[in-house]
Amino acid sequence: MKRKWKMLTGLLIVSMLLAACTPGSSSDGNAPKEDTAKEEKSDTADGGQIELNFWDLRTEGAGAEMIDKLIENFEKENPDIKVKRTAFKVDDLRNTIKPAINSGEGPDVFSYDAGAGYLGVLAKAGLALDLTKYREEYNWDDRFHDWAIEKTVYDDGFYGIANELEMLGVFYNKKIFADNNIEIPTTYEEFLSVCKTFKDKGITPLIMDDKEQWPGFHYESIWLNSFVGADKVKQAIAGEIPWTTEGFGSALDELYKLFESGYTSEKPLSLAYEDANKAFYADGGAMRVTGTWQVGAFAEKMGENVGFFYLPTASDDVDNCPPGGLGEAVVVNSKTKYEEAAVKFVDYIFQMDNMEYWYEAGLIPSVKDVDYSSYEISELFQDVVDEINSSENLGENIDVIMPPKVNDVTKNFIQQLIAGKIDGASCMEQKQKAFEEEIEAGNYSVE
Amino acid sequence: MGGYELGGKNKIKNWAGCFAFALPAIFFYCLFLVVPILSTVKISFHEWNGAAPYMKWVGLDNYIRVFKDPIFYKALGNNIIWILFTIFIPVMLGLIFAVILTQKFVKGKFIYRLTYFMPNVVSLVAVGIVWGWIYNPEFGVMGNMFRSLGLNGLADIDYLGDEKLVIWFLLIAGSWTCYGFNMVVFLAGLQGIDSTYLEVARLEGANPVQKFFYVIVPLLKGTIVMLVSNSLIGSFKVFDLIYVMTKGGPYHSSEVIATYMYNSAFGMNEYGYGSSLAVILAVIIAICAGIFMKLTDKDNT
Amino acid sequence: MNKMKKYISSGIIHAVLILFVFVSILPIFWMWLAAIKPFDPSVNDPFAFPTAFTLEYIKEAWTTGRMGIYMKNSIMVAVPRVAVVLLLASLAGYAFGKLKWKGRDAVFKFLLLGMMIPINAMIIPLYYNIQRLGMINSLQAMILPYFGLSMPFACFMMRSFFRELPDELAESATIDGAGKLKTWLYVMLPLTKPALTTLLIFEFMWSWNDYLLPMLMVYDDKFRTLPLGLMYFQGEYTMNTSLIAAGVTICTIPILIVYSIFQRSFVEGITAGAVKG
Repeated sequence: MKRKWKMLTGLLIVSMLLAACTPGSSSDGNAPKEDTAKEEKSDTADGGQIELNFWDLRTEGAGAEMIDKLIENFEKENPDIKVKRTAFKVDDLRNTIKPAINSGEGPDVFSYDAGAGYLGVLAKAGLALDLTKYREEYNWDDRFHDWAIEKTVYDDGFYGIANELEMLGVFYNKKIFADNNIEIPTTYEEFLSVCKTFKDKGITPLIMDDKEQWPGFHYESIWLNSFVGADKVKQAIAGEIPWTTEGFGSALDELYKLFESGYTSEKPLSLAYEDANKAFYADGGAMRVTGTWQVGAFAEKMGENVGFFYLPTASDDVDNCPPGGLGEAVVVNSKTKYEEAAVKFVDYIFQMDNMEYWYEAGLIPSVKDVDYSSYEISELFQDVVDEINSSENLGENIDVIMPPKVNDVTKNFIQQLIAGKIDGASCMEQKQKAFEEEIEAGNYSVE
Repeated sequence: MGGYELGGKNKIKNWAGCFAFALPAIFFYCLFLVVPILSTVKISFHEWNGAAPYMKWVGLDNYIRVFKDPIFYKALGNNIIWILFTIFIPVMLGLIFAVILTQKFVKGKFIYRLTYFMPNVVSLVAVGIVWGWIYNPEFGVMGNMFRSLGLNGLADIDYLGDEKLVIWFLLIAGSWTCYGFNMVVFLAGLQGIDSTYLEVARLEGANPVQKFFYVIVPLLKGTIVMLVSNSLIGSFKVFDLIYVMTKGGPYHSSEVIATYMYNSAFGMNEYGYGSSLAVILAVIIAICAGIFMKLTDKDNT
Repeated sequence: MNKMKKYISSGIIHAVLILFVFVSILPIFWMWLAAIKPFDPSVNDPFAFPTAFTLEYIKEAWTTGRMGIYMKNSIMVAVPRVAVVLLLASLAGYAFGKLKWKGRDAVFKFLLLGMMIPINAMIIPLYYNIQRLGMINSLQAMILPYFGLSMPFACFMMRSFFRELPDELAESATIDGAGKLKTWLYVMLPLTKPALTTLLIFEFMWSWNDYLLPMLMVYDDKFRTLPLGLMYFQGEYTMNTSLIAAGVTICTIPILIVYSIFQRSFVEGITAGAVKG
């Protein structure tokens, strides 16, 4: 028996030694080094064609068709470059990207959240390419909105191009509204009474889902903007006032009241986003609370039967500032072998001549001064763009700015709120706590 | 350990000859299992976001955090529910079906043996998709079935959205995949039973239930032990199904340690914390398996 | 009277058995049905009984959905993985089950410890190991780790089987002057066929359905295996339930066919090998 144990310990020691000296172990205290793949950064790898790997989030519908078309045109103009696009769901991309680019094997170009907790971390770790020199070369400052450029600057480096503006609001089924003689609500009380009318008639007023957890972020942003106003939300984001400031918690309580009163889909926590969209297409409800990235799909599926409005503000004291934010940033991998070609491609998708494709897909790119009067855009999209132009200011889409841990608690407390387990005030306490922790950990900075 | 009659050089040569057969297996085992697990232990003492070139030593901080983390206890609780349920229901079902299928009057045994095992063969990703649809709140066949039976109370349950029930509905899907496996193994075990025991029991006038508990179960003890320990270890490993169906949600209600570990490491980029969860998971399994084996060993002798 | 009772109980038992046949295959069967029925977004019910028949979705999933590539990858991963694991395990099983050498049981116990450790517990370093070997995002990344990870169970199973074989066989071969390797190859290995078959099916099944490791190791869709491909496929084509069902169908049919063919020898192998361990 004793001998066996000796043997076992011996074996353990041997494998520990193995652990220490196999190339695979990370026991020297270092994470994988980044000394590979740096040397050959020339664009003409072997004189022949080069292939760029591009990862993004446009899985299907008009957005996917748009980007495929752009890639096709790009390849035609640059016969020596091929672009291979892979589409991911949001969580899939978030979980896959970091180890992927860390290993030097990831995509050359990819879409990633622009926030400090996401792109900011990559930038600090040297995994995203600093595009400062190209910013001048391609004159990006003249082409993009300032707010788009600002969002991807970390420590004076410029790490990507924020791709598009996404506004959050309410889509509605025009036919259901007309059949029931209902007008677009202009105050929050009207909004509630519209919901009540529909409910009394046996129509689901609001199709709202939160199985995937990210729709919850948008509900939070919409209701906070509507109840405390964009200015206070911005102050909270900047750390000037705490999230627990009066009004924030009760805004979420108002959100919960919709679920409590039965104005929403029956089982929001197990309803998937796309299933909810399908229910909306099939006239399964009067309104759908989501963002403008869906414009293309809604216009395609419902034609002229769908309209859009922003959630009315709760009182006149609050400015009319609909929440909106940047989608993702298009980022170049710092370990790409084809830096020039990758940047060329990034620039290409945002060229003025290509704006028509964006607009016709129902997307609002971060490029400024686009003359869209000659484009064939859907009525719904026209509505959306007009609404943006008429709003005094833009609110913030909170989650794209927050660091990961804050988002992690947020998506869980919103689900708890929807389930009626906690109230708005304790949600905001959790958020404030995580917010402070992330600031302390250096993942977020407040000036 | 007797019988080394060869001496000196030959002895060593003989030993090396024997060891050489096991060597490749042991080499890969060390390289891809032992080394990584030791590295996991090492990472668990560090703070590391997966991207930074250096890890920061934090000692036991990650472990202290684990034991203060309510989500960890939630996940552990779910793991325990999963174990108890899969030990009893699918193993029992497997045993009952196996016993039934050895009865002479049952026709078409081949069909049952073939079909019952099928769910076990299918990828858990596919299982997750199928059961996700069955539970779907919009078009799920489960809700529709209850509604058409007039059981509106059952139809209104939010199968994957209710914090208390979600783990049980996941368990149903999980059990669906594994009772057939248990049955096939029990069938194999039953074939090894000497039929004279059953004959004696019959002559003594035992009814089928008595026969089941007093003759068959004791005789199948070895198989039962094996399957229970298999379920025990397997239950801690459960990941694919939950990850595909709920990702641990809603609000961590269906989280198990494996999914929580994955989310911490690859979702939240807290590789140190994730590693300490992994180490704790491994330790818990080792302890449970150890205790279980000790208990059954004692009974055997 | 007694006979009557017997008929009734036999009837009930058969009814239960048949019910469970449906429980077992109906969910899979629904998927197959959903895959061959034209998709109607306004109905939004994949379980509705098909009124028309089409192979369009299977075809689309196979080509634009790249399930064809995924299947090829699954095969390219499974074959070498199963072959090497079987070879290593039957060598080691012989060493642990039949040969006598100092430290044998200790080494075997050390190997068995691995059975208790879930793969989740080592994916983080495993990932970085593979990365340092420069194999991230390749088929090898999904094969190599299993040479180690599969060893505890495979060796355990082969050892139990080798132990059951009579000692005299090996001894007589040794007396005939055959070396250990020859004894293993010509005398022992042919006898372990049932165990090898069972292990083959287990290992093939695990390889075919493996999800976690491919999810970590592979980014490029040209290396994705079926379950992983299916997962991303589901995310990419969420709208069209028929298309997803087609993906599931492509993923499930081959493994079910393989199982149906081998199921007899699989059960035999379990009877002969694993249980007695």
